[in-house]
Amino acid sequence: MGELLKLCDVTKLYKTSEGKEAVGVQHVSFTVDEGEFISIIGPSGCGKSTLLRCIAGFEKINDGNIYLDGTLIKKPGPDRFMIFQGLDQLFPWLTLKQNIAFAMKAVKAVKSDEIMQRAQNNLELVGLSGFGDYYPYQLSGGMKQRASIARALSVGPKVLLMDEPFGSLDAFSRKAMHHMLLKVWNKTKVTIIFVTHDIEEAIDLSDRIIAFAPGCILADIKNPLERPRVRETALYRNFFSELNGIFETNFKGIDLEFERLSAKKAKLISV
Amino acid sequence: MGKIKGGGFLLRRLFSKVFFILTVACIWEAVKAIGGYSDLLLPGVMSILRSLWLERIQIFHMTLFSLQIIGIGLLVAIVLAICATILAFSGRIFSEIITDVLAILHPLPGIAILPIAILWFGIGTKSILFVIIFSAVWPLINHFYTGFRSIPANQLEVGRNLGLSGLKLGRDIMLPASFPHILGGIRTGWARAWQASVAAELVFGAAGGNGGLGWFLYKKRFMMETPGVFAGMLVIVLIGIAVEYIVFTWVEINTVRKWKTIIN
Amino acid sequence: MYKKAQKVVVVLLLGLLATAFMAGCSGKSENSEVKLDEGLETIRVAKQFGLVYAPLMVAEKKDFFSKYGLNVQWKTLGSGGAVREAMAANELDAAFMGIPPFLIGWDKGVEAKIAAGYTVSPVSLVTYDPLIKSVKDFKPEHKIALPSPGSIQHILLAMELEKVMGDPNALDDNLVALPHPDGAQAMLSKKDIVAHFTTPPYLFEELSKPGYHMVLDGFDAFGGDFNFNVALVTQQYHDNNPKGYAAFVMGLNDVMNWVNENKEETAEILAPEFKIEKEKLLEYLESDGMNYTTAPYGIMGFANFMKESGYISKIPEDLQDIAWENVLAQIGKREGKPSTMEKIQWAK
Repeated sequence: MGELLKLCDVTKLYKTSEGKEAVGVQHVSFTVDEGEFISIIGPSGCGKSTLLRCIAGFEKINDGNIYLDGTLIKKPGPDRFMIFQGLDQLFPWLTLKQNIAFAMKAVKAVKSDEIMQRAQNNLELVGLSGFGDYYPYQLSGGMKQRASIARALSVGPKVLLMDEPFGSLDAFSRKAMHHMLLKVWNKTKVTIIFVTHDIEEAIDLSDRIIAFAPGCILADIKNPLERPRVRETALYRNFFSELNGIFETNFKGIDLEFERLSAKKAKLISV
Repeated sequence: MGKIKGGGFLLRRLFSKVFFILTVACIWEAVKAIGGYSDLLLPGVMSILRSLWLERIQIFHMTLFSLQIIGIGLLVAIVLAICATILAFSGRIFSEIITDVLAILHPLPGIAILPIAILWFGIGTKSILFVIIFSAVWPLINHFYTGFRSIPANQLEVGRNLGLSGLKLGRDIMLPASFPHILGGIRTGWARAWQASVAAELVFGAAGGNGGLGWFLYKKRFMMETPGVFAGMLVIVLIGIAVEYIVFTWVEINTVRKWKTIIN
Repeated sequence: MYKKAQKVVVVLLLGLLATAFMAGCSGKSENSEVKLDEGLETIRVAKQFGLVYAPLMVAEKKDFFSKYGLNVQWKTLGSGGAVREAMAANELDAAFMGIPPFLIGWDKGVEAKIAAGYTVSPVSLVTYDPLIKSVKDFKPEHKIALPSPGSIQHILLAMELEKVMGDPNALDDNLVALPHPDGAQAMLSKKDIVAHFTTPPYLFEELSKPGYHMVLDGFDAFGGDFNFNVALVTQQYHDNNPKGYAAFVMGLNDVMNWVNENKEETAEILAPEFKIEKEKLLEYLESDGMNYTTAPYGIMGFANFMKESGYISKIPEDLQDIAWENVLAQIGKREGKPSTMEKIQWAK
């Protein structure tokens, strides 16, 4: 498997509302292979979402380069599709099928006579085959996220950028969503970058885990566990402790800095 | 209210309105009988209806005129409001200016600027049009601005993610996403435009052959034809009800009620 | 939803009934107010702003009514329409208005009659368009300003149109309702309107400008003299307050005569009120055609025409229907052929 995404020395600065510069992401470099499922973990406000938004092209980076398939990323595009945490990312004025069809029409990737069939196939893939004519308000939170994934897949992205996509769901739905996501990943072989603050979720899902602290990478670790991952095993617990340890040791020094940043986050302005 | 099905819902609303109107008519006659009022002070329901029938051609033409001028005024106001909203989103300074102007002018009743309108545009239809536009444009801007601001960021970003921008993003995502507010704005704008047109004609009545229902009221008042005044008022009320409960409710049922994005 | 509708209906019912009773009560409470000043009769009179009210303003300044034991409560109202509505609602005992607006009110059941004539004044249609020589020359785009539909100006124009063009409504689409001062302003700035049917002082002011000329003289349209305004007193006041009524009529006569004899002093008293120079005001007061009189002129002359043209539904059968006994006595009833005084009540 070849290298798909490459981040070189990426820096993203923010300004506080008083005009002082604050760091969002600082000198971050890593690569992602095609078909890889990687997780970025870290406490809320540490810049992992910002990093994802930089890859998506929503944020202009101040320094460094991001390449997808060797091409420099400058703006958002359907080859890197974002799934948000919020349950409001579906268009409420369209049915599920129409939501998916809208995306396909917008990117003009699919012939118009195939659109409806493709939409149906994608809904089946995420387990929503009977819900094509439902409006978003008629769905549960988990179903909405499934539909968002179906819509994202329909435009044929190279990378799926998932920003705590199951963060708004209860533990039971999350379990089901993990199952569904792995199934989808196996079937489509799409590359996934998954942001979460839940270490177990990252272990359960990904091939590789990047531990993120305010602005920079603390560790980049390959997941040693066989799939499917069972939480009760000793290996699982060990790996969990290893990851947890990284944060415990590293956060003593940067706690204050982190507090300052997250308190001001609401007022940050992109520069 | 339970589940709402388009046709049945409209019919129920219609029935309740008819029931309401009949009840009001009965109370009306009762008050007239108890108070012993003459037709000059409180005309009976029948004499109002008779006047409505006798004046039907004039009322029809004047209603058309009113609707036409309100339609034009509302259209211009909507275009202006869209421009102002786009401007407000194109820079912090503009958004501050527009918010301030809105705060100052929004509470001003449109009719209050009639003297200025007459100075600038004379005593013809242009002045009435100006008052209508002025009355409608502020609530429109207010609603449009709020509507655009309340579009979920995620939906906009999904749009950008799909490579949409500018006009396409506006038409395909921002417009439907803010539609509940846009509809609310047009609704308020229509009501204010309708009030302004009648009020302006009632105050200066300078219309000659080009007059709407306000001018009709004005003429009937000066001829002391109280049944005619009430007939004109009835038409104004009926059109208000018709537009509200047929046009706007229909649009609402087929859009924001269907999507469950209805506000308030 | 139905429960809500029911509630609304009940509230409305109660509200309307309450209003009906309140209306009845308020009438009583105002009657008791009348006897406030022991020994003095009180009358509620509508006053508007304008040169035609000059004698009334003098009467107020120089106590012409109180010397007859009458206490006048002046009520300022915005328009002639409001005055008539206030009379209908029994908020006024007396008012001054043109004969046509009075006849419209009389036709619709406002119970009031003429207690006195109130001045004879020129009223004319003026234009600045040199091509307009008569009412026939108006084109559809020419706007003509007059105070309101059904005003004396409107009826005079309709009378002329009937004579000249056979259609009293021929220029209805050209009419613009504007109060005199607004109309004069529009005329002098030559904006929006080309002609103005108006009275002094606006009439004199417009005619004094170069190029402004008269298209129609109201006396020609009518075919004789007519009271520009008449003093009206309601049936209720007339019947219940004979002393007050007599004092009101006598006060009017007295002040009218005084104005005729003392125009210079009148101008002096009123110049500050009108905010114009004393000399200018005197010029207006003394201008040609102005007649300060309480005699009735042409009070029956409008009715026939107004009935034929549909402004009113019935004609007064007799002078008694529209005038109180003092006016009837002034006109008299000559046996045989009618007298001059009787003849001038009708238009030619």
